[in-house]
Amino acid sequence: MTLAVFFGCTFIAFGPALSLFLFTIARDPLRIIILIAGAFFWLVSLLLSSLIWFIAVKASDPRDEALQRGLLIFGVMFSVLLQEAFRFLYYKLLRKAIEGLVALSEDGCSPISIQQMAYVAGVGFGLMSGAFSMINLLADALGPGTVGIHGDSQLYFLTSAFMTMVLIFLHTFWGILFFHGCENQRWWEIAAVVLMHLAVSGSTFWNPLYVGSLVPSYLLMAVVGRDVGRWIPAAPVGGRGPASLQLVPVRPGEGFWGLPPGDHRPLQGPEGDFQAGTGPDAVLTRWGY
Amino acid sequence: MSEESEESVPLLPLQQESMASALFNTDQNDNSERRRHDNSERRRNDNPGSETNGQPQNNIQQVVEDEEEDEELTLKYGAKHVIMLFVPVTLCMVVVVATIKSVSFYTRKDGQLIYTPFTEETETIGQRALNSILNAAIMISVIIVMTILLVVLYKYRCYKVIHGWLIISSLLLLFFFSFIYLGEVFKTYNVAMDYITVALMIWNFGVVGMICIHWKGPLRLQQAYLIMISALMALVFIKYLPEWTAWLILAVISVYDLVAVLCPKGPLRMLVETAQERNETLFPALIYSSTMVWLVNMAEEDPEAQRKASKNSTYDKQANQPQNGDAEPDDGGFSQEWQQQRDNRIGPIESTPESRAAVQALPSNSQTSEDPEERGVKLGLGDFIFYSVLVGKASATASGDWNTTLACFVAILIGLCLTLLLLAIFKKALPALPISITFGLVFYFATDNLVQPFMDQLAFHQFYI
Repeated sequence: MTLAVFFGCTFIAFGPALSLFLFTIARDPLRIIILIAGAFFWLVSLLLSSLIWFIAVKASDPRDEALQRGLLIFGVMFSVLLQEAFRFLYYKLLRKAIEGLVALSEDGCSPISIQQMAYVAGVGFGLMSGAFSMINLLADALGPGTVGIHGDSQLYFLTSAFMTMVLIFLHTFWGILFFHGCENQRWWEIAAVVLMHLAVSGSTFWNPLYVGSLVPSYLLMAVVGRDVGRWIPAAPVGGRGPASLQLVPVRPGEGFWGLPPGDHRPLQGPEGDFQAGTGPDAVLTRWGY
Repeated sequence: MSEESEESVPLLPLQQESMASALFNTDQNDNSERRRHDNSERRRNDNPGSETNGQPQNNIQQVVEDEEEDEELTLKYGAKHVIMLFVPVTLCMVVVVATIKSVSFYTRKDGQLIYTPFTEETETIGQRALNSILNAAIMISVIIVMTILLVVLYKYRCYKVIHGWLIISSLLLLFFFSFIYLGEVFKTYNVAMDYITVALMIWNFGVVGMICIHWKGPLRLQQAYLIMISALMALVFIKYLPEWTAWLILAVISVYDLVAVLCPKGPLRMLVETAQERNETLFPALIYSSTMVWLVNMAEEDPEAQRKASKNSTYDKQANQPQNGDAEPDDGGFSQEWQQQRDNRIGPIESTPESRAAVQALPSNSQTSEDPEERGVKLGLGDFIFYSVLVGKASATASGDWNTTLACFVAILIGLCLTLLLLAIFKKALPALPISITFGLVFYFATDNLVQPFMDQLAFHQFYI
């Protein structure tokens, strides 16, 4: 307990997300607003799902343990579905926002692309989800106590921190994947996101058998991260993509992160060399257009 | 000493906060609106004696273009302004929540203010509800009365009275309340301190605060002081308002804010309109402004100064100089220190008629490095205070603790964002309280009663959603 556990768990859970925030989001006011709005949407989805759960619990017998557990599982599944529904709503809102931004800018370019918004929205969802899962635990970790004194797992704080970190990353990747699917009308991507989310939440039902929840989640994160990473072009995006993206040109010279290309290492393309991985033509061929 | 003086918290700080909240909930719009005003005035004047940029401006077309550019520029700068307000609001809330969580003084019940005479320790719930409604009614009528008094004083140009009032309230906040705060912090951390050191610290803190707020000072220092006094005031409210009363007051004051700023006969609207007619800014001690670059004299002393020299100037926030009547050599507020500061910031620049004409001829959307500082946004201190009261009360009394606090925080920020968006669309003074407080209250009660049990169960079983 005490400070060591507190700081350790805080940095495990929020360290990567904080660095993502500091290096890619904090410098741009528009991204900060999108982040907070994403957090807000996640919060609203949580509110509605806990309302449903609350009603179900109040309508049932509080002494029946199995029923309560069943209701909780139902609550979790319903919450996951609602979160994805709100992600879709947020996508719709951001589409409209992009049109507004384009109309209001002088050079007809939106200052931010839908891919960047997808990333920031994912981080927003992830941060809020992680914060709600972890903050009360961290506050308790500061105080006196012994973990697992009544026979529960002694790794509670640590595994919670790791689970939170993996969920934040997953939300980020799901955000990108989801928006990409919505943009290009690839419904299988959207379905994949929903199913993955259900799977990860479902795997936590194995807790405290942590090998059943943490290991699959990390594997899933590695897989999704690698796939999403392959799809994020290092070259300027937007103006050279498929027809649906053509509507929203982004200022040339900006990579995905808004940095000029060459400022960061572009992600490895399937060909395995960076030269072919950059440049607009490579983007087109990689996306199959 | 702290115990007996708390009971009778005098009228003055309450007046200050009522003025702040009631009035300036958003004057953000003064910037663009008045700039448009001045642009069109200048265009139509075409007066060679006036302080224009040395170019004849009698082009109606240019007025229209300017207005379109204004619209674009306003909305284009929208995100930056939102962040310029997010940061101080967040800081104020962080200070309040940190204090509430660590210093137990502010969550201990030590009596109530004289404005909320009815107690909430009653036997029945009905009685408690009734008492809290009465308390809220009394408090809101006190606020209404003082706002109307302020508007009347302003209308009849009793500036000295208003300034005296403001100075006394900021004196109280900066010296007395901060002394109590410091004492409680020392008690919490068990720090031994002698009176002499404390006297020195408080004296320095208070005097520098008075100078920064009412006169001139570095922008960041002034902003920091405004945040600190808002936090102190919010802490006083959190301590002395009983629970149900506090929530009711928050709800009622956001309704009042809506009415007072938007209704044609609302006191705040009349105040803003009178200030605009007279081409003055409102009281700088009660508004948080995100930028202060140019100092311009007030209307009565210098009618010429009304016409801004450059399209992108912001307002003065120092109302005192001309009010005092004794004019310094009229350098238009561009004193020596200001010149030096400007030279340090952006290099020595002297504006000649040719250079001004050249600047005028530039396309207006050229991004200069001064952009972030040129267009400021303003938020009344009362808004800071009530946002912090909401979040502070949430962290003090919620069973959900940090989840509830976080939810209220996000809700308030989103409300502020929406308010600024509406401001960019409607371009007139808007109340900043209603949307944020509504969201905040909804999220507080929903999170505390619905989400918290759910999250508790999830954490117990270590399920993740």
